[in-house]
Amino acid sequence: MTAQPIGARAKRNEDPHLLTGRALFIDDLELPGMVHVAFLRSPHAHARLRGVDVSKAREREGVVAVYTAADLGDYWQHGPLLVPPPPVEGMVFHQRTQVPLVKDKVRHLGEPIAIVVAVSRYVAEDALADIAVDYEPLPAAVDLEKALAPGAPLVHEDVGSNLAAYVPQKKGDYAAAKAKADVVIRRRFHYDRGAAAAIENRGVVAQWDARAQKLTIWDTTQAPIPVRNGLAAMLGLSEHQVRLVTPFIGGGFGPKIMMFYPEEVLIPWIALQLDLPVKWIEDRAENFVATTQERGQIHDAEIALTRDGIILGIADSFLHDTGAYDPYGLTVPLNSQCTVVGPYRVPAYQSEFRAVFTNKTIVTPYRGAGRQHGVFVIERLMDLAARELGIDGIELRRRNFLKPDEFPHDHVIIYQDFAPLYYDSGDYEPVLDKTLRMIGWESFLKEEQPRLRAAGRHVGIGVVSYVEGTGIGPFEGARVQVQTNGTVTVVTGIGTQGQGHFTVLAQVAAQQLGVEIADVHVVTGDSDQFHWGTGTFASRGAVVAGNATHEAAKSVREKAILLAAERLGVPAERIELVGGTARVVDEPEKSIPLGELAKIANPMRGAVKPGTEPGLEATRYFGPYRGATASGCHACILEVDAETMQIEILKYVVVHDCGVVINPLLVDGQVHGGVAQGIGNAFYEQLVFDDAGQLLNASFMDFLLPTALDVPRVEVGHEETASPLNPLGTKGAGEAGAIPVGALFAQTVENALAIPGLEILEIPLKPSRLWELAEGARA
Amino acid sequence: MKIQGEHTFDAPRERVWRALLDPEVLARTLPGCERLERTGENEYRGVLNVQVGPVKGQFQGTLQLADILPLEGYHMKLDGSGPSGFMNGQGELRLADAPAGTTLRYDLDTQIGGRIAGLGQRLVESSAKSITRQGLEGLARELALMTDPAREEMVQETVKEATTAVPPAPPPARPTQAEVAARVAGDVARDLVPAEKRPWVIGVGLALLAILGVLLARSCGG
Repeated sequence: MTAQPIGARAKRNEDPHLLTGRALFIDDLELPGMVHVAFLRSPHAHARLRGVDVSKAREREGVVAVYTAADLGDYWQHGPLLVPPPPVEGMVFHQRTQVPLVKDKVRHLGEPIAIVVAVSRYVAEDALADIAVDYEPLPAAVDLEKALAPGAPLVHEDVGSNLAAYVPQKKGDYAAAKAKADVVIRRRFHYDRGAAAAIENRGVVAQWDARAQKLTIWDTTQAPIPVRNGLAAMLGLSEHQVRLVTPFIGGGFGPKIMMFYPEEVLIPWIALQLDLPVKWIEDRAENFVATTQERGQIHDAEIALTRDGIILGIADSFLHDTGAYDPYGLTVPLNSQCTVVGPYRVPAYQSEFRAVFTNKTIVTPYRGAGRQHGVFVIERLMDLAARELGIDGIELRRRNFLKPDEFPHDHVIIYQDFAPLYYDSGDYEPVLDKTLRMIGWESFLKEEQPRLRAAGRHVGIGVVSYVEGTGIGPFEGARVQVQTNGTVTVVTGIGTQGQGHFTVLAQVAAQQLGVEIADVHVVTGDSDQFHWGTGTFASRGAVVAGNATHEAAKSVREKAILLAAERLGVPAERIELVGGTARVVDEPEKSIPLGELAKIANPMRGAVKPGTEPGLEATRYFGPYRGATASGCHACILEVDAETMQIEILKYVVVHDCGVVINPLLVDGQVHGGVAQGIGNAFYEQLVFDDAGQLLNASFMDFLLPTALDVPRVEVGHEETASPLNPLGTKGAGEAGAIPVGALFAQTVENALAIPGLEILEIPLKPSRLWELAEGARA
Repeated sequence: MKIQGEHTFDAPRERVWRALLDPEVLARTLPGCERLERTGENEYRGVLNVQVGPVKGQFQGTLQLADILPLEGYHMKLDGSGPSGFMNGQGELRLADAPAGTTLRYDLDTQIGGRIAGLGQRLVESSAKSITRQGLEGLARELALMTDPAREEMVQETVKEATTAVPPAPPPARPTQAEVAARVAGDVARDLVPAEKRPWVIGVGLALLAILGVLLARSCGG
């Protein structure tokens, strides 16, 4: 073995399969006798449902069945609360979860009213036109502040207001800190809603096998095992009777971690009702209203500092748009609340948020999951403070960074995993220094920018810092087995949506077993293969499933070494696993291939010794007791066309510290994709709703995604501060690319335009809005 | 969205008024109108085919007239819905004498929702204007044919006799869906593109629209 598998810039095991079109995606499934489903969705955001007449649709040729809420009987239930509210004193939480089909009141655009099952999707869609629905449209709660005002239309009348939750948290005494401050800066920050826009929409296929009494569900979920368990309970089956498969999925980004979507609950039920395979594939128009969204928040935040720029305290009060229901609890606003303290020493922090019900699509985590807002607030406050105090923004950050000897650092407030916000490890200045070197900070400011300014060009530079809580529990498991042909299988329950799990987990196993990365075959997202797990979210796959794989592989390694030592007649300490064999150190001719050992471990005669198990196999679980905190810096140089306010990114640098890097190529890829999504969020993507809750740009004609022309080559640097919380020392990397881009854009665009008084306090931006802001500052 | 404006017809007020209350005339002049039938006193039910940008849909709806002041105007309320969403509207139509005929002032407040709002938003206003313009032009053509009552009676007689060698004047042809769509596309393009660039942009736009139409027909209908 030459290079160590962990840390290798290995190409992805899954790519040959994906690139040659052999990977199974959900819409590839064609089952004999399969029927297809179309949903009738409300064209109103808020309306009383006075009646639904499906009789004509039932008569249409090719229609197999039509269901409304009334047809579901006892199966009509509110979805479960996926994440309970945090144990915070003074907290208020009103649980109102989604329903499979609207019974009495529509609460957001696109909420499903009825389902048509037909021989083809075409017939099903045609039959939607046969359904007569009597709506009584109601005024809608759309704007966050208006929704909380007295007399606002109520999304849930029984709550008495549109307040979904209130969570106050504090660390230290902010009032005292403020009283001592030389400078207090207070601003209002807006962050608006976007869609994750995965290239593959959602889909569910279900098939009941009456002979085996077993239901198979293919689902694009990010949480295969919890969805299996939940659906089994709802359908009155044992968990063992339900097999849930997540095939290859074209992007998750969070909305697919939302569980028990109406479609997810209904398709398996229909398969049981009809004893026919049933398929539903979400189309893009549906995705814009039926798949969860994120990011609407308004913050009123202030920072108190000394004259020297030392942070004394931060206070924040914000509104969070939770949409029409709140099945995902308070994960997103809690993340925002916990991210505002950033990589800084903040002795006093006082924060409260109000989650607000609105007549809009449900809000659940979307890559970054509330952290964007937190980074935007703190980094903008730091920029404003630097300006106010006349201290260089980088110097101001350095003065407030937590130092390496301050870890672990306890921020006291409660995080999304309900443990105190606790930074396990970090070293922020080397990351910042490397970022500045890579972007060419000094030379740009000293030489290039003056030259460009003289030429009338508006080119700016910026740098921001961030931390990201990653790799939270509760647990994942993995089973590692050496096959008799010498290959190794890793089976886990997390599910995968393009992250590279087939490679990362292979590297972890290969490291222990001395085999080629390509000889480790990873299986994930099939509950018949592994039925314990939580899912892929919160930048946790490599951390949690990675460490479970590590533990299982270590155990298999021990078994293999013991067995080889016995066979080769040497002490176990003298056995090493190299190149797919177990061999004696310094006597490489004495060796046994791993596959051979696997056969020996599964004898046909004789007996497996008491206290041992057959095969070279082990199953282990890993549950970190708290999340690992990654960190990083983004910097960019961008040009603004002062006439059109269109921007062009000339250079983009990310230096990321996610602890021990298992595969730098994959972290680079995660960062690249994240930055692309962050750029979209910062400058292109905004869901625009009118006062009636109608979504006005529900297509890619009008909801702009950055294209290959808008996303620059991203240069990525790595720093490694190991996490003490897990044996691999790793931290998550999935969301880092997307999180600080809004804050960076605001700072860099201000620097490029150099208009005195221009303050960018909102995201997303767009040329027309930037023009208004610039004109406002000039006036 | 507000639909406001005025149009002067080269016809006496009484004749314009009659046309505005005649479902057959309205059905012929309203672009995309497939059917309009009276269901009660000042109540009509109809089917309207509308295309806004990429969204094409059939809307079933009702039209209610209220506060009818003969020769002056009325209040109207439209409610339509279909697979691609809903469109509602309410507002006033008012008539006034003009030096060379009769002026119709219209002031409608409309709401649209569902897929048609989400997909067609940026074209909604231009499309609405175009449909309004085509409707007014259609009404003008109708009015031109509705000459004095005497001649109308004569035409009726002619039709009744049906033996005469002189064929009756055919009722004005209703534009086909494709014609309506093409005109909307032209109007939308005019709205979006400066005058000097129009000829080729409209050409390209129509070509694209035709392609889109084919694709849509394939994706929606197949």
